Amino acid sequence: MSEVIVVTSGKGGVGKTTSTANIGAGLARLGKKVVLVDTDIGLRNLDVVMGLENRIIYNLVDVVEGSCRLKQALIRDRHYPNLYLLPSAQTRDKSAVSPEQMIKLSERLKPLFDYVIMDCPAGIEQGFRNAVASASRAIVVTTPEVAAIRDADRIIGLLEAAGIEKINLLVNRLRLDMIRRGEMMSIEDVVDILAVDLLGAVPDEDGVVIAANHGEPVIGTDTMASVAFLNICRRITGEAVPLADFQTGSSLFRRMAALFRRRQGG
Amino acid sequence: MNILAKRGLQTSSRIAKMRARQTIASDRLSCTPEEFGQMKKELMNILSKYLYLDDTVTEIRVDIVHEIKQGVPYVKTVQIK
Repeated sequence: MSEVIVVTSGKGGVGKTTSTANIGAGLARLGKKVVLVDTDIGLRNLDVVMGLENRIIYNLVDVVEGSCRLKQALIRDRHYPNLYLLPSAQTRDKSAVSPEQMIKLSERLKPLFDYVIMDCPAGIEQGFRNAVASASRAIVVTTPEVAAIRDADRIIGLLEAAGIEKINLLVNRLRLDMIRRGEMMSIEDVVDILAVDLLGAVPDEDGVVIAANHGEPVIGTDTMASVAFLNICRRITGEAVPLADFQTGSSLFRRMAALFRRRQGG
Repeated sequence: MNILAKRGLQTSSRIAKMRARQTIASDRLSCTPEEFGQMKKELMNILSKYLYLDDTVTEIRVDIVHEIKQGVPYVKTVQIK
């Protein structure tokens, strides 16, 4: 039984694409067959985050328009053989594809994969409508900032209006040291304001940027973010993974926090 | 005094949370903070027509409940007096 999940946020730059790439890698690591669809037509970047930018021949618009076969456009990941990317077109715009066409595309992808994950562009215009059209589940990415939370709330409203049953929250870029000092909203604060189920929280770590620099997922590296993304993926598959309490947390967390502090101090 | 003491302890995360709440409340109810202020004034005028409002009345609360499908119902409390 395959599931179509949209990763969205409203606001740009909160980590949708990085989250999509890592959720894809994590699910693939758990043995699932996954396709990541970059729906940001005109501004593609999931391929770059995954390090597959040199392998693109055909793209999403080609598939939708029938210029190529579906399998010709799918690019296999370098690390996980059961992870695929359907890249976006760089020289077209959002109007090149309609929500109806996206639904048809999903129907073609669903028999081939366990998870079809749509990387949504920022904004609430056609790109958003395309990405959301076929999804039955949404992951709303936000950061502990007022602007990102406001946009997340707006997006949650639109997702509910679009009839999406499962809406989960992913709080990204948590600075544990700042939260401890009371200079950043905690996971609880964000969940309290937005009132949707929390899927997971990812700390802001150097490793995430470093992995993206290399075009590789942070999953599999020795970082808290890797653990966080793997937990998120296990929750997506339905496993009940307890939420690591980042603030008051376990001894494991405290060890990780100590590591984090050391790294921060240089 | 108490408020001032609290202000002194106000961390930026508390301020952020309060601001996030306010903006979201305004967004959801399609009502700007200025309109909230105006609403308070007008409600006071109406209430004072029927009620004798002096210093003995310490608090009037109006809860505007906006049911959302997911999660808990959202309540914006307008403190009129």
